[in-house]
Amino acid sequence: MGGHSDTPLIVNGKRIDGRELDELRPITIEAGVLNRANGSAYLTWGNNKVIAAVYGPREVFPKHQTDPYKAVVRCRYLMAPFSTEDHGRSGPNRRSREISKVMREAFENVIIAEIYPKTAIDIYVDIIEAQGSTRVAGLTAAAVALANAGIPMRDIPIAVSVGKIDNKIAVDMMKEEDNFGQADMPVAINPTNKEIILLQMDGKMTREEFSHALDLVYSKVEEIHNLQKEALKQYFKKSSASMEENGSSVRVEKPIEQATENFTKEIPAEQQ
Amino acid sequence: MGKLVAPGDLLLDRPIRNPYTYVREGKTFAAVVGMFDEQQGKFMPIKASYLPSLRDSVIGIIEDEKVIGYGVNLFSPYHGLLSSKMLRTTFNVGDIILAEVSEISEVKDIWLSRPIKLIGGDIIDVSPTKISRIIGKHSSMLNILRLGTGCDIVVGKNGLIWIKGDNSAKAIDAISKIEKEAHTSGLTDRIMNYLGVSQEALDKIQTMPPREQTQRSVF
Repeated sequence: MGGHSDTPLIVNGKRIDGRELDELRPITIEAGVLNRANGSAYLTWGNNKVIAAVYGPREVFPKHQTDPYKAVVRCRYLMAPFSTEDHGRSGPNRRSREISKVMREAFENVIIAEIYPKTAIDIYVDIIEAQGSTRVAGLTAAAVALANAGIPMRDIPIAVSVGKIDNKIAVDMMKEEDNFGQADMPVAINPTNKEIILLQMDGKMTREEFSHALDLVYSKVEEIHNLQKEALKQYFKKSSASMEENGSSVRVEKPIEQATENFTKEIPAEQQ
Repeated sequence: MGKLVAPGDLLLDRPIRNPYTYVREGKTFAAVVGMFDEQQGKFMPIKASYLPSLRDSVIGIIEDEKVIGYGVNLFSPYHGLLSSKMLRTTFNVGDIILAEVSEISEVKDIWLSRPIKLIGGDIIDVSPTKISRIIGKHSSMLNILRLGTGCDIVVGKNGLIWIKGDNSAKAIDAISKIEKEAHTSGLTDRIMNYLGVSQEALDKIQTMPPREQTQRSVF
């Protein structure tokens, strides 16, 4: 957020990657990509690649975090060391802790936690490849993963960033615009009642610019929300396809003795 | 048979009671991904964790032995407790039991009673929301499964199904078919076709004792 850059960010009315000021990068979302998680989503947003996984409601460890009245929501946002241009350090840092916190607070407003007291809902957001606005990409992916996990929530929140580059307001900031632009503002919104659940700003904007930026965010809500719903729909279609296409996928659980006993026996062939 | 809805979608203009919906300004909205039947006003979630309710028969695995009783893994966010006060038998860790939910405390301790040990067999894990479809009206679907495969099948409300018999692979396949196609209509006929069960044979079974007794008479 230098405020000044030698290279112009807007050339002939277009941004450096050829987008209009009010144009998003291409987004794809796929739900249910991880087998062991209760819910998961893989999202690509431009060159951002995000995997979100949701576990729970499950037992709370450590036990002292338990809330007897509602489920505790825990969130961990982490950028892979290889996600940026320079190889970073692994593990959480100051920035990722902050993003984990704001993301958790955003989801606490959405999840109906009173249904599952004494449990924990864990959200893991991993950035595999980063190209600016990863927190909004992560939040959008985590929202799909939560819905995919069957966790009761009031809405599927969406998030998108806006900012100011070369004195103009533009939506969906990419890395260069974030680094050399004048302002960057990630916003998360509940699509049904247009409630803002996350808003941060880095840089400076006037009042008029701010309200223009928010209008720009609201105009993109529908577009992203439809992609999320489509991803959930596609997952449902895939998982409910008839057995002849997919084969049996029911997990068989066996008690320990039974499992060892059957180990020597031959598994009976499937009788069609 | 209904349409697919996502969290936040408007279901009805009037409030209804359902743990998987919520009410805002007198209107009902979906809280999870599910199928909504507009004619009947029925909402069925696709995936949900088991929420215990009284007198549910559940299947669990003994995972812990304490002074007051046994800890039971119910494949749900909450653990079951089997008080040893009323027990005449002992269990080992790893035993599979069928039991009834006798009490739920306000901090969601689930007390179980009337345990029955299930010996041998396999357990499969399905979504608890699909259990009503696997049992069917007056356990019609369960009877088809039992008749078509010759297996002993016990269904727990928490999503665990115990199957014992030579033909259990076929039963597991049929149950996975029911789970995947739970939202479609005409499923009973398709499962009858799949397992080769005739209507006459089924009618004979249907006139036999009610569900609770048939389920328990397996042992």
